[in-house]
Amino acid sequence: MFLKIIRRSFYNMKDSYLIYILACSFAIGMFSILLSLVDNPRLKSGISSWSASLNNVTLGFSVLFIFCVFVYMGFVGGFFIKQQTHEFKTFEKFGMSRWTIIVIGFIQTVVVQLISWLIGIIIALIFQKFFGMLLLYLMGVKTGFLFRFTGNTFSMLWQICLYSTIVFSIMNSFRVQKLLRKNKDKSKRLPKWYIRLLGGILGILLFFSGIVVTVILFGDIKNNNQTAAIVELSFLFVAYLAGTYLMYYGFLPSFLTILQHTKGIAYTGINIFSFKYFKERLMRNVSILWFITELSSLALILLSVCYFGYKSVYTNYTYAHPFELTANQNTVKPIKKYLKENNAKITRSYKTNVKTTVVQRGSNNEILPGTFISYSDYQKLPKSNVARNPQITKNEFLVLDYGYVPSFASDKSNTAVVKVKNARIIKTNKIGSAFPYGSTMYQGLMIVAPDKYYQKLKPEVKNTFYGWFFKSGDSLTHKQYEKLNKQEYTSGVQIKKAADLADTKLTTDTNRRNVSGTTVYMDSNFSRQKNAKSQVDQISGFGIFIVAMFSVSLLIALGSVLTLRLLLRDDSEWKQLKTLNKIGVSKSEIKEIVKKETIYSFVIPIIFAVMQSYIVMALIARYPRTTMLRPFILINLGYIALYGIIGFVTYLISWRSVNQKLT
Amino acid sequence: MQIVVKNIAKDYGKRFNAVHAIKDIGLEVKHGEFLGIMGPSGAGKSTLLNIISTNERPDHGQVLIDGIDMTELHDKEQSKYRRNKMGFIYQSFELLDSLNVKENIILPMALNHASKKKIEQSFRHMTKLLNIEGLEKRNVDDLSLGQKQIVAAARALINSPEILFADEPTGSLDSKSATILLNYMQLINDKEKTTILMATHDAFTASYCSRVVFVKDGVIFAEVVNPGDRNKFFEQIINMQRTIGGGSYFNVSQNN
Repeated sequence: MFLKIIRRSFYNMKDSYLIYILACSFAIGMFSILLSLVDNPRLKSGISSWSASLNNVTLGFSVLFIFCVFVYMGFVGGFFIKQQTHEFKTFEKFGMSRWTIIVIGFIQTVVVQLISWLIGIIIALIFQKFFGMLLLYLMGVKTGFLFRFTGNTFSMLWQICLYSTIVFSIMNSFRVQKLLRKNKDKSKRLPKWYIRLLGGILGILLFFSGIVVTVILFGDIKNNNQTAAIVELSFLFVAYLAGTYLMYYGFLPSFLTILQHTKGIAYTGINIFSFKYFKERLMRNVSILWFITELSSLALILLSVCYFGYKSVYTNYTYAHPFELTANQNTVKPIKKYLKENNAKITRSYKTNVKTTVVQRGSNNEILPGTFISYSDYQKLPKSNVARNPQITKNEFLVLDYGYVPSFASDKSNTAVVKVKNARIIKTNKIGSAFPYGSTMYQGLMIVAPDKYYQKLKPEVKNTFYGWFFKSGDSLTHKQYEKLNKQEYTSGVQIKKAADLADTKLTTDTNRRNVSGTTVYMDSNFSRQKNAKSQVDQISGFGIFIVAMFSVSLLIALGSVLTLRLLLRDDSEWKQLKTLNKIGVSKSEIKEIVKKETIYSFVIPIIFAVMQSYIVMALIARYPRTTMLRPFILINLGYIALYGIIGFVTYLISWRSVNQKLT
Repeated sequence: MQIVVKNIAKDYGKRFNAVHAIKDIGLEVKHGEFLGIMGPSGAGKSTLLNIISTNERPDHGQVLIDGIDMTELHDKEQSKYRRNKMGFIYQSFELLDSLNVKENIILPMALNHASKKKIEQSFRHMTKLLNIEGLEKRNVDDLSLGQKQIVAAARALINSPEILFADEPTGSLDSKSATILLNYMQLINDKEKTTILMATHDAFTASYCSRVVFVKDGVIFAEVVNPGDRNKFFEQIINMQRTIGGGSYFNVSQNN
């Protein structure tokens, strides 16, 4: 008898159970794959940083992932129990003991959980190799992936499956017990309309004040006003969370109530029913819509931040290594020797003389080394290396300052002012950040000066930079590279500050002497693109893999929550749609109701989420050179497109289930 | 509106579990006729009403209303026809929980995009007529069964339908409310020439009809025509009910 009841429940809600099981299985599958990658021998041997750090990062992410999955399971798993309220209460009325009904709820959850875990682990077994290969491909590691699921992983998965199944089943048993005990008066449960209206007005005020504060935050982050920015961020956190909830709780239902009472609109066609129907459904799903809005917003912010992080790493890498191989006068001899020995095929080689002296940066009066390069030499450099810098004429200065452009006076934010020892002050609005030989080869500022200025400049240190491009790589052997590596940070400059810039001294330093009153700036004596590229590829590939996994899983989870809420109509809601059909509302009109409900349920959260996620643009406002608007829009559009597909599928499933009931 | 039902049949379930709800029924209902359909539970009364009212499609056979074969119409056209020409009073009320009493009653008019003024007028008239003034803002859940049935009747009648289908309309009503409703049904039948098809168990209710057909095991078993005297007609119905209960066979007219 119990089995029949359980079987019947599964059959009646087969679409909903299928969506839940597939969403859980996908998440469990992804978690199992992440867990199995942690101790994969091929990853350990193929990627040097795997054993050192990436395996722990993967383990950390898998723990975070399963935590999110458990939140989802705990939350969504309760939908099915709630859906059976009427049925469980009827069983109780017929004399079935409460304990027996609780056991039915428990067994249903056990079955669903075990099936989800079983399918999830099968997904992991089938797709582990695919995901492993994908990871290696994204990381740019040219080695085959070895399928491996250790006994340790299996044992861990089995234990997690067992404990989580028991926990969720007990949770649902408590839910059954709670709903059997509950006997709330519907009218008492619903708050009065004026409370909702007040809540709604407060929600709108909070939400839109959040938008205003986001605009203010732009300015404060741009001006590095940290205290104000922290206060504003705290306000935004509260304003958006509370504002969105109150809009769902108060504003939207109040708006629908107004429409419903506007007879000119409400007494027209199906509106008389649909406004009230939407309102009831909305009021029932306030927490879920809020939850989805906030998580979508978080996902959009995270995706944008991740993209920005990736772009930063990539920009760093290109700034640091514009040539395939770079040397200065300290390393040029051994490098040339190695290149000759290895018959390296040099396609282009460059040489530039530079002068270094003491300069004072305008915005913060910081004294630091300034490396000068003549306009003529700058023009001879490869265009790709300096393409990101603004164009200059032969009489103009160009100040290269890594990533951050300071100004001497706050009212001239686009002008760089640099005081130079024993030379005239430089004021220019030509500011760049692409160092032609890479940012690691010299510390402080680099200044491209007109030839006359450069000739007159009396330097304290002179140097020569060399850069090469090759046909098939630099051909340096591991041994040669190791030898060079020992010389990487063995020279630099030392500044002994004085009250006056003219008295400040800059000398060559090869011993990293920490003499009181001096500051040492160590330069890199060479830089090799290949090493950095491999590291950047690995880190960004790993990042893309993890972010993509999280994003897709989050999207599926959020989509399935909404889909389930739309699918799970209670008896009264089903009956109403049927009645409408009986009294002459056509199926196409009912389909329109289902369509509108799906559109509202998907569109409203995504609009709120996109508006909130704009905060990310304020967070990166300090980086004016990095235009994030386009990627931000693309990320949003991508998310909306995927979200839209889920919405469309939800609409199809939802209409299918309604149509089945009507037929 | 003349209704002609030709050889309709309807089965529920599949293969060995199939139940023959209607077996080859033929029936003619004249314009302005008040037809009663009686029979024991499970005889097929509600199925017959549902098929004629286009809420269900027969497995075979035709339902012609004013010469239009309703079984050939598309779902959308059927819905439009139901909305414009038909009214329904269901055994289970079929009121919408989300809407209050007023909204439930005016629903058919709103669906037909009637003007706000006309809606208000019709609503006042109907609530006064059925003596349910003061209930308009109440939730459906808060009504008694009898009140629910009156509201359902008001909804069915507000649009002045050309055909009214009533499935046990007085089943939940006290005798006073039942009499008010039946008198009103008879009134619109007489004055508006509304064709009424009513399924009922109750001989008193059936005595308001001009003709009663008796359905048993999915076929029309017998019919009794109102001789013009309600008491006599009532007795005939009672006798027929006894006959059906006794299992005697009764010839059906040649038309059927």
